[in-house]
Amino acid sequence: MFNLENEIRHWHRSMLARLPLHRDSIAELESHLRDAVQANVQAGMSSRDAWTTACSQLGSPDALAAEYLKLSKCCVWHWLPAKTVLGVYGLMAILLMALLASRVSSGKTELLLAVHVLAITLGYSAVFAVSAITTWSILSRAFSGWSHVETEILGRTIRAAAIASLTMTAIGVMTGCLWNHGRTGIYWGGSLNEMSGLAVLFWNLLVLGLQAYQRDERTRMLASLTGAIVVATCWFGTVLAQRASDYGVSMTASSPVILAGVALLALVGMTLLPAGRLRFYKSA
Amino acid sequence: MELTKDLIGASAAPLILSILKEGESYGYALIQRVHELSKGEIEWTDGMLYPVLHRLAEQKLIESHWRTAENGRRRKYYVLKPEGHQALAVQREQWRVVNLALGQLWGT
Repeated sequence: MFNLENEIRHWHRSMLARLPLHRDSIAELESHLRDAVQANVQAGMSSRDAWTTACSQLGSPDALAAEYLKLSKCCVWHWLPAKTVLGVYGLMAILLMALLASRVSSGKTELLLAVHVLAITLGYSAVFAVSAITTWSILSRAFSGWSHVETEILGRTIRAAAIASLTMTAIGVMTGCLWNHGRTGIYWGGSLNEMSGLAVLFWNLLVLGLQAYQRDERTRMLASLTGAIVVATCWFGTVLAQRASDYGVSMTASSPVILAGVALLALVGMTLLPAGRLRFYKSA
Repeated sequence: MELTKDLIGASAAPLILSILKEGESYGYALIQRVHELSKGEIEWTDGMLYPVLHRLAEQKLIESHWRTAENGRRRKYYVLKPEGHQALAVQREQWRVVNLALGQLWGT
């Protein structure tokens, strides 16, 4: 027995799986379908034929999703996880700028060094920011499913962060060289910090290349997670290694590091699962 | 006669803006109006309309609001904004120029 409401529910779920960020649009399309079905029934069609005709006139869910995908350029900024992380990132940038400005104005820090610190901090943090968005994406994908629209938006977010990180890190490396020259007479000392800056630059170039040629969301997610490890090693690893070396201490893994490693492995595992595998309920 | 995809795409925005100039409307009614105006010659894929409406809303030419219609069903209505009136005037002039040029060539 044909049941129109069941068909609409099924259609709604199928659209939601493809366009999870367009709930309002799906509601609008559903309203359109209901109008079309009503008109078709009034024209003498059976409910089943009226529904089939209305669906075919509206277009397949894949075709509709593709049309909306063309509009989704703006969704990076409308996407709640991206908005939240970018808000925190922006706030951190403002606070750091205020702190450095006060140190420069009071003569505690040279302007060149302040620019270097700001650029390196923002450049490195951009990779962490996008890793936070990726972590959210991995959890969302595992627990509630994923669509190609989200893959596209995540890809754009990662690309934008890589460009921002590349630019800021390049500025940081250059100002670091200039500051070094002012103090020691040489631009490049080959220290761990300097090599780390280069490593982050190369990593971002690699990510940009990967984003251009690799469309699979799992590869993008794994690359983003790896980025956090690369930057964390370059940023904090060098400091820890230097201190350990200064004091003749051998480095051992501490509890937070072990915990971070376990969390990372869990995230990698979730990334490798099929989308929606950990969903609490199964759709009919 | 079947219109080309390019022509349908190019005429979508001026058609929508012109219909909304007559008063607020919603997706399904817009399609019916286009069908009626063109005597069935312009065949829009229904799903094509909504992304165009979204684009016009992003350009701040139209705005939308949900309202419950007389039959109790909720519908999303679109209204032309002042910027939309200006954009329509520009588009109208552009289409007039094209129409004039082609009219002279074809002697219509």
